[in-house]
Amino acid sequence: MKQKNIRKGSIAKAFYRFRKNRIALICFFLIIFEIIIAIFAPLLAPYPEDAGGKAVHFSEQFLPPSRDHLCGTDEAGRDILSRLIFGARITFRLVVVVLTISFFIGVPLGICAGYFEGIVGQIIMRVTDVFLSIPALLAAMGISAVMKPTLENSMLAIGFVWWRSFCRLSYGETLSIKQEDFIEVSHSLGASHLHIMFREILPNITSPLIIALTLDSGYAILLGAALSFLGLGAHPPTPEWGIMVSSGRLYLPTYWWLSVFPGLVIFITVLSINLFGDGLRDFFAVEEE
Amino acid sequence: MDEYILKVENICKYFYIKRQNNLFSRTKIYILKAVNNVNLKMKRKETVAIIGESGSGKSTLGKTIVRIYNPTKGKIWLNNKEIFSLRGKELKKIRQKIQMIFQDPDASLNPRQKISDIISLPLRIHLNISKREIEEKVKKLINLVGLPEYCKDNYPHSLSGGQKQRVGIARALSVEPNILVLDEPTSALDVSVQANILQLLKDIQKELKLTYLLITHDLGVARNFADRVMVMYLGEIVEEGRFTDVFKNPLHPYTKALFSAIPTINNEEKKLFPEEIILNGEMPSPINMPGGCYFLSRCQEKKLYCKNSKPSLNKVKDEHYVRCFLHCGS
Amino acid sequence: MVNILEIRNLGVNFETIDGEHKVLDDISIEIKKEQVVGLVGESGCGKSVTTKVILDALPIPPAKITKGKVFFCNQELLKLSNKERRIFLKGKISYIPQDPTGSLNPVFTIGEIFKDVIIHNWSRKKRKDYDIKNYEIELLDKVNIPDPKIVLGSYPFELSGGMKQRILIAMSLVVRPALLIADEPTTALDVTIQKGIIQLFSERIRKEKISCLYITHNLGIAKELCDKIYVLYAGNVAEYAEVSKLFTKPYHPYTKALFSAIPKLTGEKEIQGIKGSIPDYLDPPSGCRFHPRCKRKLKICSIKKPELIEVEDSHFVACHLFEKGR
Repeated sequence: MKQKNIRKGSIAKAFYRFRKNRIALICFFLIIFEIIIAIFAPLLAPYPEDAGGKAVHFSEQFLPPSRDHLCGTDEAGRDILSRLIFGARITFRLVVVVLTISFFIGVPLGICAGYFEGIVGQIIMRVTDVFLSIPALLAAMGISAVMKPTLENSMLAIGFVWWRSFCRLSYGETLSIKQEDFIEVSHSLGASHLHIMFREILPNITSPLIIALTLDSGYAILLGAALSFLGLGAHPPTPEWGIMVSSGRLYLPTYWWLSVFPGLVIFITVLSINLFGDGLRDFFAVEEE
Repeated sequence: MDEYILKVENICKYFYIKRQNNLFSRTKIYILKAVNNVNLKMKRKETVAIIGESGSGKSTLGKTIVRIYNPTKGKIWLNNKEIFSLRGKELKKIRQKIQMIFQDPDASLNPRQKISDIISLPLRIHLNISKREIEEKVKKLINLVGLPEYCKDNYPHSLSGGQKQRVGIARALSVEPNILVLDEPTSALDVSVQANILQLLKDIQKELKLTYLLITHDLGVARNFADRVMVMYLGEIVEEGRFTDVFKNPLHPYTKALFSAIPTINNEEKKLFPEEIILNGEMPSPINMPGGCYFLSRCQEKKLYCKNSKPSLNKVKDEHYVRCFLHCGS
Repeated sequence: MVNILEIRNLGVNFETIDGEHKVLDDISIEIKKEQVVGLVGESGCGKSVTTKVILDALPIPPAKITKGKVFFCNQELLKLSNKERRIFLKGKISYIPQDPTGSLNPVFTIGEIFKDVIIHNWSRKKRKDYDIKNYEIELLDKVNIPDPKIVLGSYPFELSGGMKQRILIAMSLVVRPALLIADEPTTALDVTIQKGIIQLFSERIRKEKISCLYITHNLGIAKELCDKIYVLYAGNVAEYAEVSKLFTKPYHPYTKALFSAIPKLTGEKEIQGIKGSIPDYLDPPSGCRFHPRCKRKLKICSIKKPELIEVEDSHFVACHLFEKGR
């Protein structure tokens, strides 16, 4: 008996639905575009040496945006566009590190809390509550201040603070999936707790987790920029967007391009990520229907 | 005696419910006696039907026997070995022997797992066999339950209700159990599909020499299948006996009302239970039951003495027991 | 007698990414005044889609009415604009849904929900003349609810399924509808409760002389309640007849197969299922949609769709086996 293969594959279906939300699709491609730029930074930046920090051209400082320097130059004569392009690398590295740390701490904890409930669940969730009560920025500042204030350490700091929302999310989702019949079945078959948590429950809660990952990356970028702005993260001459905004402050409003372009890039990136995440949420909602 | 493959003695399953009437009162703990002192004996290759409505405790009874719930009190013997007190590894071994088929085929399959993974799960848990052997077994099982071979790489959402139920059956059979507890196996399915699944279950029973505990609210399904029947109300057995005996001559007022409420499709069936019994009210909740017979509030044949004490299960005829003062000559 | 509802050759398709699901192929139904008509069929046969068309509840994209006419009280519904249709249908159709729990808003008391229904359906003058509270109690009495005053002050979650269903029946009687559509109202209830509800339902509609379209998959219930039964399969009417005629002598192979699939309480214990499953509406079988599963199929069955033929007095079957000359 042949299986009828009339139905299109699920990926095709996914794109069809996504197509209907044009904004999300545009944002998706924008993000891909930025990632490609980040990967190929040395090839794309017009003045790659400017991003390193060793090159200094005081004769060319404060040049306004022109054909040679599309975003102008900064106080050390460095091409801002090239620095922005290299800055993308730093930004995306930050996102990956932060999200990986927080995901691998938060999700298992959340699933354990939701699955076992009782005392274990209470302990985990109360600890999470404590972490949740501290605003992310303050917590990251605190941790950064204790450690040496470098870019790497700021990433770790944010990661340690970020796991709480994944934990809470996984906790809630686990609680609702736990009620389903097939979990009861696995129990009655004698499956181990580990198996049920990570082979039965986890695959069923991936949709909200993916959405959270997407939306959180936007906030992580903002947080990283904020930390650098405050001097707790990256240091000059690292071409991180946050410090570019920060060091450009001194020259506003005359030499506006030093702060405005990095600020604009941060804005567009985070906005795209958020709109994409929204679209993703709609996409998953339909899928469940 | 070796006669009985499963013996359940005075099994109870109580749930403790906390309720707070308003913000300022204390939380009281109520006892919900979902299953109350049930005794059950099953011989090999027998099919025993448990009939009841929602709230009767029949599903809870099934789940307690399969150890999804741990019994509050009582003893269970499987093949003459006492299993109530078992824990850990020993319990795991026993789980192989009693398996359950669930009512809702949609909910009992993990939507994110392939069919072959779903069916092989019990194998992977209980047996230490190679991947190839598992694949072989899965193939055999899929054939046994009448599913086409290409199904095994699909996900549950691409199967129909009947096919999903077959997957559930294949999964339960994978570890070669002796006893299957069937919790309303066909209630969620269409009539035409139901007949196919029931036929499959019958065939499998013969072929693999299984013992069935069939939980259902459908008398027709029970008649099709069962050797013996037990009628449950509010966590207790109110009548039990050979199916033909109870069916021909229901004695307990609840059994009579239940049987007469079934919609009939021809005059022959209508003549079976000519008396139209409509019960008052609804099934009360099994929390803090008053003294006396549990069926008192709805019984059409109640007498004055029924509220004084609870009747026990009395033998009326050969293997036919009833829990009612009207049938015990006291 | 006047036809309250007349559906002629209705066809409905659903547009999805995979293509067009040709759900309703050709449905024709007639309900006369004071008649109770049963719509019997298994899941996926098109009963709920048909109901939605009558209730004007079909989501028009992705659904598409490909052909057919729907006459309600002699008014052709599909010709009207959406607004006109809504105004026309108001107060003329009542609906009792399958799941009582989902149909009552949990944050309002029964009394408040009732009041809403009454206010929505009565003219201002009527509202002034009648004492609403008494009317509500009267209605609840009619459906045999004990202590109506207490029930009116309760929230839906405090009541059992049987009670909620009775309340829904009472609400459907607030207006005197020309047509009452009941969508498997007792499926979610226990057998003993079901019996009471069915008796009540039957009493009410006979007394108030309301026409009714009763949807069910349970032939036993259909027999008790209905005057005429339509058996649906895969978007087509397979057979329809007066109740007694259908049960004494079903003609269509599908109807007969349905009867043999029901576990019986007397006679033969053997039950026969039907091989296969309902067709894929994306690519339905040619000719008669039942032919891949039919034990008695002929060559013509896969080529030409059978028309409804009168095999006995007011007993119609859509099957080539019963065409003239066979």
